[in-house]
Amino acid sequence: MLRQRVKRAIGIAGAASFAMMAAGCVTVATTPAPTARLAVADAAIADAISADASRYDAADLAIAQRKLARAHDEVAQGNHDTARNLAEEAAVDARLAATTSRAAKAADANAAVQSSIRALGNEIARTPQ
Amino acid sequence: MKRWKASVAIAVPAFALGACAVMPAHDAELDDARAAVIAAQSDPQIVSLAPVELNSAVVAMRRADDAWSNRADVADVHHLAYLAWKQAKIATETARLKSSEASIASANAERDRLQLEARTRDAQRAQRDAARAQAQADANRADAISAQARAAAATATAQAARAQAEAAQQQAANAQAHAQSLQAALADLQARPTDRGMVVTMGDLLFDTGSARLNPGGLRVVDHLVEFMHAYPQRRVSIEGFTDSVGNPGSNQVLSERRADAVRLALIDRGIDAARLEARGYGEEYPVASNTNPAGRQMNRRVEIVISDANGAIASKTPTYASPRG
Repeated sequence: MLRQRVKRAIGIAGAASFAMMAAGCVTVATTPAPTARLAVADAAIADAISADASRYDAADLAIAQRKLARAHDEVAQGNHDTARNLAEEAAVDARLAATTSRAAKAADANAAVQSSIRALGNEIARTPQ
Repeated sequence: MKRWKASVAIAVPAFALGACAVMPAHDAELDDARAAVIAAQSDPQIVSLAPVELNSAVVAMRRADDAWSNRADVADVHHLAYLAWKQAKIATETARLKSSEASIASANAERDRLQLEARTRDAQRAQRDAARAQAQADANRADAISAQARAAAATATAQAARAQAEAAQQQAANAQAHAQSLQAALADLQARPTDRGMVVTMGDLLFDTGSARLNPGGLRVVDHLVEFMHAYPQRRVSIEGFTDSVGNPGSNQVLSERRADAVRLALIDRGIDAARLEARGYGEEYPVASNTNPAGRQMNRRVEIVISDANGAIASKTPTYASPRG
């Protein structure tokens, strides 16, 4: 009874670990096309462009665009897993490009407003009370 | 929160290392990603300003570590490591963005405060300038008014001076006219200047012989005298009677007094105030000619009317006036 139970437990554990191994390591050829991820990457690139990434972070934007194009190629060749990874990377690349551009613009704006404050302060200091 | 994150930061790689003890110890790309995530986690600015993005990076890193410890395909592990690395960079950039935005917000507040201060100063300065200008205008107006007043005073002074000059001229003219008319009146009376002033002499012929009664010629002289005294109300007269030395000195004295008094009464009759008149008889005293011949005696028989100065004063008769008795 106990032995049977232990055996069954081992068996379940073994099956479970096999299943985990299979899920983690084995590539299943019949993965569907990563349509949603391609759309996400596409939107991220559009957002980066709207954040003037072509001016502030052209490198990351170019990487994102290249990877998205390759993802589409991979989809066309039926390599859906590769396509999904490329789309995921393109999305973070584009997000980084957008965030970097926005940060750069904010830094510019900050510098401008700080210099205007300095100018104002100087003006006030110059003018008599 | 921070402490939790710190424990995650330590736990993730520890778990990964523990799980992967049997595999190749290191993967360069995984290490790079982990270093980036740990660096982000140890940056207080990223922890406080980009918690969501930092959490995404940590989660992505955990997935990469899991894949590595589960002996996943190296390409997949690299893919997940890449995602974690990029998420760490996104967290870093997000913190930079938020920091700049916060700085801009407080800078805008500071700029607004300074602009307000500048405007307040401008307004105060404008107010002060306006007040100064007003004060200047007031001062100018006061100056103008006082200048006007001074000019008016000067004009008034000039006018007064002119009026005074005119009055003085008029007075001079009047005085001259007065003097001329006085001269004329005295000429009418045939007055002659003496030490005591102008003296009109009424001769013996103007009285009835041996009497104090004035004849018509004498009354004509009296009328001239009345006119003169009306014209010059300040003038007084001293009426003095004299005789020659013929006859009794006592009766001569009486006659001289009566003749002087006759003239005095005639003047009073014609409206001259008695207070302006004095009458005296001197008898044979003060002859003006010799009593040794008829012509001299006739000259001595006379009434002299001494006219006062403009103030009514008459010098008293002095002995020096006496001519030598003949």
